[in-house]
Amino acid sequence: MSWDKSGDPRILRRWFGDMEVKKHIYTMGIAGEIFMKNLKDKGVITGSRCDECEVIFVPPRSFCEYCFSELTVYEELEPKGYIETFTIVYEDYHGERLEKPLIIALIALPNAVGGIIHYIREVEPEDVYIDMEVEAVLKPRDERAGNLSDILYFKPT
Amino acid sequence: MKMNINLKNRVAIVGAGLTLFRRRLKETPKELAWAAAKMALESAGLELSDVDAVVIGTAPDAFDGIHMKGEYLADGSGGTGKPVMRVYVGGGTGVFTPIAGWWHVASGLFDVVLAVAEEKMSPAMPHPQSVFAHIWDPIIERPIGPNLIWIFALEMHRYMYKYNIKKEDIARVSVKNKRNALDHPAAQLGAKITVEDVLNSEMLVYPVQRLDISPVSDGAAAVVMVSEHIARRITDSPVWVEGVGWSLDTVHWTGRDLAYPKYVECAARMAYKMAGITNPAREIDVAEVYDPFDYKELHHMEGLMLARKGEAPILTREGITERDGDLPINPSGGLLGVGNPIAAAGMMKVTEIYWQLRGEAGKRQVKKPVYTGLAQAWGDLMQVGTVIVLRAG
Amino acid sequence: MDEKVRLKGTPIKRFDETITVERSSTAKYAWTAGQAISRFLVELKKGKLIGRRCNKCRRILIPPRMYCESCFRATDEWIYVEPIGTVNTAVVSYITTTREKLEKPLIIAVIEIEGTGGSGLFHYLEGVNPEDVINRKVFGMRVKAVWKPEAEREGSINDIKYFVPITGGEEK
Ligand SMILES: [Zn+2]
Ligand SMILES: [Zn+2]
Repeated sequence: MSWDKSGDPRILRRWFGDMEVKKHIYTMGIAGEIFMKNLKDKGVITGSRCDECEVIFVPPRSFCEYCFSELTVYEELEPKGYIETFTIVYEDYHGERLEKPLIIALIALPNAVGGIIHYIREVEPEDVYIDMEVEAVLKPRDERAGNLSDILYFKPT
Repeated sequence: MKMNINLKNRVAIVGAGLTLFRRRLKETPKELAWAAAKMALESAGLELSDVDAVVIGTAPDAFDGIHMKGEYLADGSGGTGKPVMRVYVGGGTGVFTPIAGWWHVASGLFDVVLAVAEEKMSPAMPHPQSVFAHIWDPIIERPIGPNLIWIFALEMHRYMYKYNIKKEDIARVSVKNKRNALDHPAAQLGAKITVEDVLNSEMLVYPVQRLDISPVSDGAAAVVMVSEHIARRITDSPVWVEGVGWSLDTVHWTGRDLAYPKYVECAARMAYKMAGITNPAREIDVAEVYDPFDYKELHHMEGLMLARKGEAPILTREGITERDGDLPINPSGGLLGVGNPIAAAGMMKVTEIYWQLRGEAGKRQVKKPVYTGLAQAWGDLMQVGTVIVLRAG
Repeated sequence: MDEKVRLKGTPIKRFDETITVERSSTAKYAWTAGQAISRFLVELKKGKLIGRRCNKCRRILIPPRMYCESCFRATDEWIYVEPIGTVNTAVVSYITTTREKLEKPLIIAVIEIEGTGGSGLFHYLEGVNPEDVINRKVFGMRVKAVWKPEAEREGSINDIKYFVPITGGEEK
């Protein structure tokens, strides 16, 4: 190279800026809307069935990614399942120690593809185990807004 | 540039699909991708299990607000468990996606490739415009506070100045395309308007007015690309990919000739060479030319050498680019009429040429018999050209 | 596909017609300016315009870069240039960056800096009327940079307030 690099901090500059997108609004889509409506109105978890592949997707999808069929059969399931896997979180976003560890689990529903990621409460971290049966604790109906926070957490059945 | 034009496999398009193009659609991005991909596969008489590989095209992640957009779209694009790649060259993406699909097949690597393009711009708030703010140099250009329309207005005005073009001759493009779009089932902005309507529409950044610009849209498009032996087996009317070309100019746009899109010419020369085209104005029967702004159709016709420099407005004024003219341009209605979900809009142009060459465009079918067609897209910081030449089988 | 085909897609006029979720993005960035642009910014603060010369193609690159993208070699030397140029193209903006209506229209131009062999700067133009832009009188006009007062400069492209026409007889 024919030029010398400057390492002088009085010369090397930084420029500050941000991403000006204020926010994003995401639609739930065809299947997602049904899932959220049913959660809000009926307190159930909804799946969609592909007869071709003999699977139920939870949360539901409007198409099957395996055979590409359109899925139009929705099934309302009890908000119950079992822990497929879990992790225990001891620190918050900023690395501060949490007062009480948080249990995060992938909750699978019987015979369904997929599952729901949520908190597990009303149990001590040392007592959680894979395959533990759990059920959803929902917000009261009139406080539900049609999003995943309508489920407060899952607890052992 | 040296290029090998003796490629292993001939490639055909054998199916195409689209969703509606609208300002706001309820479907998730992957649901849109699925709808277009499913339609394309069904029209080809193929199933997902026939697909060897998937190519996905989608523009900045910040529109949909989802990072790893290609991966996110993969299941809706038929990519689960398959070789999948995402391509992205700004506004040029929609034509670059089938170009990437083409090399997947031409190389001999795969026989059946699904090429899917999707864009959902509506999630970005308060306006997708804020996403565009990030295409400029953050230190030298963004502090000036550019609006995307500024740089196109700068380019448009230089073009008008250099060739002494009147605004009404540019406005005709918008009138033609919005009228053509009335016959397109995906169209967002098909309309019967006059040159006066364009000239009287809100002045945004002189010389750009509201009716000079394509809208913000959600939508998806897809094509199925196969090798010759598959094409011969499944259809009597394959549409052959005869040539592809792409080219990128420098990002330092302020030092460029703004009156002429050299990068489009470079891309076109590559595609023409491959297709054996020596006189494009005579040999191309119908073209879908990228038209996010009305002047861009003219600019690009010249870059594609379909018109001499500064003369595309004359061809337009004389009606040559109408559907019943000698060189129909944007019979679909283009981005100005059908809409501009970025990557999907470019791919929509490819689907239109596919249908035109098969004689399946219904009321949109151009009057003259057509054998060779072209689709072109453009993007990034006004610097990329992507061109595909198709021929009826 | 003819005009009668019914395509999939569910248009909505407003987001409250369906269930949505909102997230705000708070990504903040610190871009390093690098060798060339750092020096460029430092010089702007001093009220000077500096470029890098490529001795092969003889261009002076502004904004400067440490490499010439045409010759694909390192550029050779720093060189000050007069902040004077000609208008390559100009437009009148009636809207802000975020598309709100402007009270007083803004003129934006690409200014080809003299003696650089084609380097352009993207900046504001003052002292011309929108009519001068619309009737194309502005093309080719010689213009010069107007600097912010020294105390207000911060090492930014905005240390140049705008460019103005060089009136008849005026020398640089
Ligand atoms: Zn299935
Ligand atoms: Zn050089």
